[in-house]
Amino acid sequence: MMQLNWLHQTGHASLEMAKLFVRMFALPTYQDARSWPAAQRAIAERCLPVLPGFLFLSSLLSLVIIRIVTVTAQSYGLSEFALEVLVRTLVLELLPLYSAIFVALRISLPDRTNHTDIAQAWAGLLASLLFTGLASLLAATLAYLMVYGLSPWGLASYIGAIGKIFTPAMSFIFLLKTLAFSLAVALLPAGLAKANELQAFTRLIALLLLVEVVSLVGNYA
Amino acid sequence: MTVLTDEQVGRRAKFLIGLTALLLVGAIVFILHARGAFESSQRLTLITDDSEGATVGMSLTFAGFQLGRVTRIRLGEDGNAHIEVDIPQSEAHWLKVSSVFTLERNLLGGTKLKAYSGILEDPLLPDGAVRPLLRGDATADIPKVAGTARELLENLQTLTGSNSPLVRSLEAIEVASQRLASDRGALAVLMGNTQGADQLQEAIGDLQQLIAATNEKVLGLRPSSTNNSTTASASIVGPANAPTSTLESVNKTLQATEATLRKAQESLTKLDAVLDDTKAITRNARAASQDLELLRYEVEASLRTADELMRDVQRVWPLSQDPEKGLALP
Repeated sequence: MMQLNWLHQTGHASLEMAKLFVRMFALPTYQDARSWPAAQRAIAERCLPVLPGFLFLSSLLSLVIIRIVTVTAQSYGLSEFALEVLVRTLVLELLPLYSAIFVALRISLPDRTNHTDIAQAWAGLLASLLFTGLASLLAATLAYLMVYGLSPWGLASYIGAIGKIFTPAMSFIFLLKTLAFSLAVALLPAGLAKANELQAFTRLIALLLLVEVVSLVGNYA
Repeated sequence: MTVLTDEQVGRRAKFLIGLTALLLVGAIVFILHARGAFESSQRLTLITDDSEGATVGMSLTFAGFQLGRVTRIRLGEDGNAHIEVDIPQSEAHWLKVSSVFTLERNLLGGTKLKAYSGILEDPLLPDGAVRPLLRGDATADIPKVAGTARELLENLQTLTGSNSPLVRSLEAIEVASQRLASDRGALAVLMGNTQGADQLQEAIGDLQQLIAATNEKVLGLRPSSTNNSTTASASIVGPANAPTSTLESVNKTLQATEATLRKAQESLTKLDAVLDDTKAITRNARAASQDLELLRYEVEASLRTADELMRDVQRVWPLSQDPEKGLALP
């Protein structure tokens, strides 16, 4: 019985999310004329205020991980691999996941009364993409500064290392994953209309982890 | 929360959307730049019989600086691996027609593709050049080293075994030195047994007695008592009126005795020479035993080095079977 109930709930949630997706990307003629100004308002009013807090937290997290990785690599005499490890763990895996969770908790989920609102979905989508990009840029810069300091002479090899990591396949999977995270964050509220806080949070984590696992399989399997 | 005007909202939303688009496009352009998509490059094909460790995307370095990147590795018709490297035009001037390319595998860390240009005045490497790739493998020598070490240990074991020629020689030298130290000295060594030495000593004793007796008989000398010399000479020479034939025979006897004495002297001289030789032999034996000791020290030192090497190899070898000898954490 429980399995059936769960299946029914999941099916219903997926359907609601699909409906919202179609409405988001429908041609403008089929959309409500008020949706664009409303989306703009949602983006401006909901993304901008949480941005400084997000940047502070993500740079703190990045700094801690950068420090741990560089010190560990140094103690094993493997400093040359530290930057590569950092870019792989932080930029490729941790920060997109962290950004998506942050956006879901601060922007998408709190206001589930208007859960089918296209404007809010757009705000979530944009915020997730923007925050991931900013956090990755920040982490890459911090990693360079922590390893090379302010010297510009490590730049060429750093760019070379990044070029080596971002193979076409890796870049494509990274882009797909970020888009999937953003869509999940944007559409999830539609599927969680009847869920309580805890259920909403667990389902959010489950969905994001599913995307993460699929991307890991794509990258490393 | 202050309510924003439509104009403010529009501006902020456009800023955020613009920033997102900029980040996305910027990231794509940056990655394309980092992968060298905007640079014209030239192709270099390196041929090797084993491309293990080489991966697409790895760098070709020159003096530690990245020159180019491996774009493709394929198995050619000739059964060799063809590693294709793209080198940006801006870096290509470091490669000359005389440049040498190596693929180095290390115990820890990645494989490295390196270029060496010995003569920088040489003409530039042309586009599409095909060059052999030399391989250097740090791990390839380990089985060889282990094999040699084992062989060395086996040889050493045979050398120092209880029945080995070296040990037997040492034992023989010990017996000889014991004999040298005994009462009979070098004689025992020369004769090989104690009876021979005793006989020789007896013979010398007899000779001495004979000399004494001859002296007494011929010259009337008594080594111990000189006051009875007249009686002694009387007993040898006989009464004054003895016939001449007796004197002649005595003379003959004297001559014979003299000859015997000379021979005895010669024998003694020879014995002296033999004793000198024996001394030399003993000295040589001592020097040889010192050399042997030195050799033993050297062999021991080599053994210790080999042992250390084996332990190092055991420790570093990734498939070490003894878990206690795993990599020690610093």
